Amino acid sequence: MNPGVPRKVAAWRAPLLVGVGLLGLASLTMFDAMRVASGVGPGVGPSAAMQLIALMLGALGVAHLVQAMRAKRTAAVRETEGTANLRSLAWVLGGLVLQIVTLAIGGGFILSSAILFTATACGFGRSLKSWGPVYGLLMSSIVYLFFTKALSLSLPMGPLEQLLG
Amino acid sequence: MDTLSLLADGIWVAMQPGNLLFAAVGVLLGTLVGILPGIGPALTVALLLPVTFKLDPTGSIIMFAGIYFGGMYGSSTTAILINTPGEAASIATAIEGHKMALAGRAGPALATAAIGSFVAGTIATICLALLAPGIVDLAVQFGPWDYFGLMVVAFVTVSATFGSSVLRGLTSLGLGLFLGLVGIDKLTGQARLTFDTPTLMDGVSVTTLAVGLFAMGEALFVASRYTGAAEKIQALRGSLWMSRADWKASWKPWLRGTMLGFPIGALPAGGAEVPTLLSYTLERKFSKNPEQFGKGAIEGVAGPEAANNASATGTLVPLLALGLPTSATAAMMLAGFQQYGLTPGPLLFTTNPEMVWGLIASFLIGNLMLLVLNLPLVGLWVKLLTIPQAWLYGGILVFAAMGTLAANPSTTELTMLVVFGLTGYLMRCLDYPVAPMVVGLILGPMAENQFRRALQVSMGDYWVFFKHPGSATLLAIAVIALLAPLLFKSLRKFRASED
Repeated sequence: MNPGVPRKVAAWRAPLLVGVGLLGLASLTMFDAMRVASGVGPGVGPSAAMQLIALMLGALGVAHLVQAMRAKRTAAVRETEGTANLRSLAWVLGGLVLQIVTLAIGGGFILSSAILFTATACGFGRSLKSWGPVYGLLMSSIVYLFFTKALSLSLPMGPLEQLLG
Repeated sequence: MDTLSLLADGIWVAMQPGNLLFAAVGVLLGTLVGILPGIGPALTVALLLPVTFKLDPTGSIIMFAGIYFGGMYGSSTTAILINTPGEAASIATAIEGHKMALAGRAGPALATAAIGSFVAGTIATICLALLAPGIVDLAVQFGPWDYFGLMVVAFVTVSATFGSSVLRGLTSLGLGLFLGLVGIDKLTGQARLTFDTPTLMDGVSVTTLAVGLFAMGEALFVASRYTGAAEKIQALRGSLWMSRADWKASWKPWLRGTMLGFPIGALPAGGAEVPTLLSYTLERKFSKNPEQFGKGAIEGVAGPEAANNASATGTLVPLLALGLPTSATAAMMLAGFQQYGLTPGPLLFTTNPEMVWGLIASFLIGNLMLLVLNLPLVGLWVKLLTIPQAWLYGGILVFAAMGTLAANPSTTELTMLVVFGLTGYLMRCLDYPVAPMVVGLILGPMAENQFRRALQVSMGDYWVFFKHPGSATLLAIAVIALLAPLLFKSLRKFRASED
């Protein structure tokens, strides 16, 4: 796996997946539209736009499937911009998930953001023992203080925020 | 009152010390964020939206305009110095400007971009001031069917006409329209696509979508391409100032770029890519030494930069006069208005004239401030580019999360942000444009509103859209704009098979 090195993949896969996804969204919308009561009085109710957009998504889905079939028949290949660096991607995504979990259990903005910052830095080649956690805590604290004190926005509170007042 | 005295009043509003301060802060913040690699003006505005939450509306909209122009200036600086255009409109600048920087002429490249942006922004703002009242007068006579037609035209041009693929553009738009459905229907109070999730009742926030698609998508994309190699920044060498020859080579491209950029931006014709690339081609044709192009021709920076700025100002014509956003950045500006419960359009010109004209005047002041503040500060901005990627993207993600949490402190909202980030990443990998999705989300519900109003008036008769000449013409234009790229394509194929 060499990140950044172009690679050739079969061209039918992406449109097939996108097409199936679009058809899924279309049926979801259509299904929900049936639940919504049509409006009273003249004109159309809230379900009209849902049906219209469901039809549009459906048509786009079919177009993708046609494209996939065509690509399959001609065995076309698509050049990608390079293989993904899954390790880096996992660090960043993991940081985002950890932030959500930390917030959900009441860890507060500063701690959760410091975790996100550190994980992202790890994704970009820093080790956990680098300055990442320190910078993360410093930056999140400054951001927290600036936005809550100077701009009076409210951000999730946790133990560290209580300490800062 | 005539336009000039209204504009004079506006300048008076914008010159209030408080508002001047907002403009200055906006310009500096916009440049600061816009200069970071991979962050274009739309994302700059999206990231800084929470900063303006609690300020007074006029001041913060003025600050907004500063952020917008500062973001554009910052993006062009990045394009010149590290050759990573933050958006498609800076590609031309990146080609020539970066070559100039390699040749030790980064100073003149930055200067011609800045002065060109100032010239273009100023002329375009005056055109905007002259044009907008006329459009407002016209728009007062528009029926809901006409508005609907106009929005359909915007949908098509933004997603299909100027993109690389009609199918991919429309798919992105369709996803945006789908997200626009989510939430409580304003007319009947019924929940749509909410699946009993309380956070979804208010609908999908444009800021969350834009920050997710642009900031998070970009961070994930850069992470997925991380190789450990550092980016190369061109040091600022040589004089910062333009020589007499540089001025001579630049002034005509500035004016030509403005002439191209403003009308294309003012028509609902999508982003600034078209006028900048047109300007680039045009300057190569007009140049006395076209062999310089591709090797660092100053005309190739001056023209496209002017076109970029003029078209950005041009997109504010439909935004302010009709309430119609036709680019991702304009969609973010509209979100900025909406956070104060303000709807741009003909009504705002009569209910809040001092605000509208104060905003227009602040474009003039913001442009001037950019010129005065940023050229001397360029050394400081360059330092920003040396921030290692690890800290930079960590900071961007924390900031993105902060903005989302400040708007709605719930983990559901944050989860949505991450989901949109992943969507943006996948769209980036598969080469789907993201701007139509943002425009679809904000414009979709507006179009539905007009659609239903029109059908209410007509008692459910769909012919209402074809009976009125205005809407019939607009819908015909939309069909033509949708089919044109397909026709060109088959024509090209036809020719190719003939050869």
